[in-house]
Amino acid sequence: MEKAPTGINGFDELLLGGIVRGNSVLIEGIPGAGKTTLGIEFIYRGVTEFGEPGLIVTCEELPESIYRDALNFGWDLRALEETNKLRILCTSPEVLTDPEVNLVEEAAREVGARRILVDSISHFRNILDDHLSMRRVIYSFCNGLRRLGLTSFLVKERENEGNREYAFEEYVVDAIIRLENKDRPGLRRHRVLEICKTRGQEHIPGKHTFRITNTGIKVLALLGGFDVYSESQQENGLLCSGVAGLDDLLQGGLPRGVSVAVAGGSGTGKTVLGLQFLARGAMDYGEKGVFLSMEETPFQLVTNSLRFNWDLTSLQEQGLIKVLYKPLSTMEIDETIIWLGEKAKAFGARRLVIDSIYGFFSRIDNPAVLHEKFYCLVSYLNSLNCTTLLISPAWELADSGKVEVIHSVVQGTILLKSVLLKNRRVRQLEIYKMRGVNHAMGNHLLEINTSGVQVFPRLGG
Amino acid sequence: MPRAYFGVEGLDRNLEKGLMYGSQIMVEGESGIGKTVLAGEFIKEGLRCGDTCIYVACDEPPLAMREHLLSFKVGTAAYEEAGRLIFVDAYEEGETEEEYALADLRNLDKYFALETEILRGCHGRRIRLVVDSLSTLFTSIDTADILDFHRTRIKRLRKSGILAMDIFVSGVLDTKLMTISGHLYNFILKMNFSGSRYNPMRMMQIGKVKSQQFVSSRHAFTISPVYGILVSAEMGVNE
Amino acid sequence: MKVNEFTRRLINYMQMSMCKTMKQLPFSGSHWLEQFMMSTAQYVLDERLDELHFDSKKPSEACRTFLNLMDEEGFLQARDYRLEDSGESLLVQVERDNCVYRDYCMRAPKEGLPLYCARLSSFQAVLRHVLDKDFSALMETDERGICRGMLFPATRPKEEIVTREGHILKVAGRRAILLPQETYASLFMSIKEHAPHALKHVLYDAGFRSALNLARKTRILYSDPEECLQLLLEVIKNDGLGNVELVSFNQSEGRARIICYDSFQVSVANEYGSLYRSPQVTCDLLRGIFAAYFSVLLDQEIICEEMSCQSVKGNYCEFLTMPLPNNLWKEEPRGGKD
Repeated sequence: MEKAPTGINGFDELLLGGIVRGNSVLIEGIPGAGKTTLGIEFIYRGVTEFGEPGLIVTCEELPESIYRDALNFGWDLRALEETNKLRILCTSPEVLTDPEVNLVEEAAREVGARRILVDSISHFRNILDDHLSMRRVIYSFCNGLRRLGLTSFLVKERENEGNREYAFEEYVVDAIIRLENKDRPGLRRHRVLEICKTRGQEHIPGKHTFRITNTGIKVLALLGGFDVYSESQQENGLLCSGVAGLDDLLQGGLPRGVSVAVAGGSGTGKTVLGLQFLARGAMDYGEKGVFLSMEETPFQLVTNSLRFNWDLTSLQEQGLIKVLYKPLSTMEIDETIIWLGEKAKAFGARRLVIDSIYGFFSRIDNPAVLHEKFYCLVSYLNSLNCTTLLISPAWELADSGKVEVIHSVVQGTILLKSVLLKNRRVRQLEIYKMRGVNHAMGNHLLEINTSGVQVFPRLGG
Repeated sequence: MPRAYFGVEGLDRNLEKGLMYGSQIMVEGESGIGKTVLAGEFIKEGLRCGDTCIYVACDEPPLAMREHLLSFKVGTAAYEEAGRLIFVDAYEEGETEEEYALADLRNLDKYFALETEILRGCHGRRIRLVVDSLSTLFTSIDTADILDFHRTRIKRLRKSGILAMDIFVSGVLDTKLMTISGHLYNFILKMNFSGSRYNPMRMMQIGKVKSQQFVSSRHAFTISPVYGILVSAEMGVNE
Repeated sequence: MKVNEFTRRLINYMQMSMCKTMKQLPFSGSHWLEQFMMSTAQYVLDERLDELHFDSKKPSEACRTFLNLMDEEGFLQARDYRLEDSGESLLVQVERDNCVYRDYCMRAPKEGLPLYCARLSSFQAVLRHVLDKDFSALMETDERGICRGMLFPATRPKEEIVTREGHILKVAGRRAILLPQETYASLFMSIKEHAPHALKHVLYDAGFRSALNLARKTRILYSDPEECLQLLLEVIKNDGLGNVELVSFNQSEGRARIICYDSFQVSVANEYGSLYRSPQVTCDLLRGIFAAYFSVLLDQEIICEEMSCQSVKGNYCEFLTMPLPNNLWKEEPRGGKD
C-alpha cells in the first residue's frame, strides 16, 4: 500500500506517513477554517517536495486570488504552472460534472498530475437539488479521479458547526478531515483539525491543534511526535529535592521521571520551591534544569532568586539552568508542550518546573480534553526521565473537576497552604500523594528564610 | 564499643559497666541544684573520651556553659574548632552569634529539624547530646505534640547510638507528662534540696531500669570549684 | 715526646669516641664532654705549672702563654692562632687545616656526633685556672675553612645536669631520685583508689607546678620565647616523658600545637591499666607541663588540652594550648540558674 505524503508539517505524522495513493479526502469546515490553504499546500508540497505534479480545480476563486494567497506563504504557483507542473482550472460545477466534458482528465494528462484539489464540491449542490443524484454525481466524480490515479483533496463548506445535512459524501470519500476554528476560553481562537475517518489506513485520532504560519500549516501533532507508550530507560533511585526537610518526608527524595503537582494559593512559596528545586539541583548535584515561566519574567525570576543567593544568571551561563518564558497570552497549549519537550530534551534537563499550569486550566473547559493534554504532557516529560514540578493554583480555587483530572494524571501532589494557627499565620506543606513512596502524611510546617524553603517534618504519626 | 560515664565519680561508681551509647538520661531537678554543673561534667568527660558534645542552651546563652567549662580550665575553643563541641543557642531568639540557633521555640518540628541537621553533620562520630533544659522547649507546646516529638526523637537518638542527657526543671511540666516522659529514658537522675531551710543539702537520686525493675539510691553531693560535683557515699535509702 | 701523624690521629679518634659515648648518656652529654676536654687541659696545666708564667690577667695573653707551651712541645704552631680581647671576652681565629683536631672537626658532623671544639675547651680550662671564672664557648667555621671562636664569661654556673656524689643523686644541683615506671604507676594507682575524682587534677597540677620553676629559670636565660621553648621541650625529652615536637606556635594568639610520641603516661597506662573507667586522654601531666611552659613564656594564663592520645588511638598524642580568657565570671562554681 503506497502512501502519498502530504508534506504538511505535522500532518503526515497523524496519518502515519500520508494518504493512501488514489484515495479521496474530504476537507470540511466552516469558512475561514483553513480548508483551501490546507488543500493548496497539499498540491504545492506534492510538486515541490515529492515531484508530483498537481491540479487545482476551483469553482470559487479566480486564479489571481489563488496566486496571491499562496504567495503569502511563499508558494509561487505561477512559476509551477510555467514549468508545467501545475494547472489551475477555474470552472463551474456544471462543466465539472458533465460526463461529456473531460476537462480534468485533459489537464491531468497535460501535466502528468498525481494530486488534485477540488475547491469546492459544495458548489455541486447548486446544480443538483436531490440527494440521490448528488450522491451519484459525486460518486462518479471521485471514481473518475481515482481512475486517473489522482490522490484528491475535496473541499466542502459547512455552514455551521452542528447541522450536517448532506453527510452522504462521507460514505463516498476515503478520508475525512474536519477543520474547526472556534472560540474557547482565553484570548485567541483555536484552530483544530481532526481526522474523522480514513479508509484502509490507520490514523491518530483526536482533535489536534494547528496553526497557519507564514510558511503554511503546522499541525501540532501531540501524539504523533513521540511514542508515549515506549518504555524509555527509567533511571532508578531518588532525586534530592534540594528543599531541606522535604526529602525526609519523602523517605529520601522524589522518584526520577515523575511529575508532581505543587498546588497552593499565592504567597505559599510555590515559585520559590520550584526555583530552589532547580538551583539546588544544579549547585549541589550538577543536574540540569529547565524553568518554564508563564507568569514571572526571566528578569523577575533572576531577581527573586538572588534573595536566596541562587545566581540564576551564572547558572544559566554555566549551562546548568535554562529559563524559558512564554507569556500566558501567547501560549498555545499543544505547541508549548511540544516545544517544551524539545527544549528539555535538547538541554538534557533532569529537572523541570512549569510555573504554572494555570494556562491549561483556563484554556480547556472540557475535562476529557484537559485529561488528554495533561496526560500527554506528563507522559512525554516523564519519558525524558525528567522530574517535573507542575506549579498549580490553589485547589480550593480551581474547578474541582479539573483538579480531579490533574490529580489523576500526575504521580505526586504537594499542597502548599497558608493557615492561621493560634493567631499566627504559618505556611504548611502536605504531601497529598506520591506514587510509590511511603511518604509522611499530614501538614508540616514550611518556612521561607534566606536560604529558601525549609520544611520541618512534623513528628509522630 | 566502650561504655560511657558521667565523669562524676560517685555517680559513675553506681553504673557498673557504664552507659551504652544510645542511652537516654533524664535529669530532673530544682532550680539552682546543679543540673547545669552536672551537664558540664558530662561534657568534660565526653571531650576527654573523644566524643563530640552538643549542648543545647535553652535557659541561658551558650556563653554561660562555655564560661562554666573555662572555669574548669577546659579549652573550649580547641574543641569547638575541632568541631567536637557544638553549642546550640535556643535562648537568644534570633540575636545570636552562634552557628546553630533556634529562633522559634513555639514549634518542636523546627527544633527536631535543627537537631537532625547537626546530628547529620556529626555522622559516624560518638555523640553526647545535652538539652538544657528540654522542659523549656516544651513550655508552650500541647501535650499531644510533646509526646509525639518525644517518642520520635528518643527513638531516633536510640537508633543512632547517641548518648543523650535531657534536663527537666522541676515544676515546669505537669506531673502526668513527667511520668510518661520518664518511661522513655534508660536512666533517671533526680536532684533536689533537702535538709532544713537554713542548712540545705543537695541530694541526688539515681534511678535506672535494671532487669525490668527500677532501682534507685540516694546520695548527698556538693559542688566544688575544682572537682565539680562531689558525691558522698550512698545514704542507704532504697526506694 | 714528639707529636707524629699517628699520635695526632689517635687524639682525634679519642675525641670521636668520647663524643660517641656521650651521645648515649641520658643526660647532659655536652656538659660532660666539655668537662672531659677541660680536664685534659687541666692535667697539662697542673703538670707544667712551673713553666707557665701567667703574668697577665688578659684572656688573650693567658691563652697565648698556653699555646706557646704547646708550640715548644711541637704539638702545634702558636703563630697559627689569632687571639684578641673583646671586653671580657676572647676572640680566637685559626685556619682549620692548621688545627690538631681537624679530623675530628670534619668527621663528627658527618657521623652525627656533637661537635665541641677541643681547643676552645682547653682555653676554657686555662681561663678558669688563671681568672677563676667560667667561660662559655661559641664556635663557627666559615666556607673558607676559617674557624672563629668566642669565649665569654658564663652568666650562670652550669648546673642543668644530673650529678652523683656518692649516694646522693642530683639534678641541676639539687637532690633527685630516679623513679622507675612501677613506682610512678603505683603512686597514681593509689590516688585512683583513694581519691579518684582528684586524679586528673593532681596530674595536671603536678605537671604545672613542676614545670613552672624550670620554665621561669630558663626564661631568664633565653629571651627568645621560641628558643626557650625548644630548650624546655628538650628537657621533657631528656626527662623521658616522651618525644615531644613543636608543630606550630603562634605567640600573639597564645596558640601552639605539640605532638608527643611515646608519652610516658601512655606507656604506664598500657602496662598498668588505665587510670580511668573508659578509654580517654591520659597525659595530664604533660598537659600541665605545657600549660606552665606557655604561661611563663607568654606571661598570661595558658591552658592546654590533649586533643588525642596515643593510649586511645594513633601513634602520638596531640596537645593544643590557648589562653584562658581573663574576663570570666568570677563566681565559681556556678550553681544552676537562679
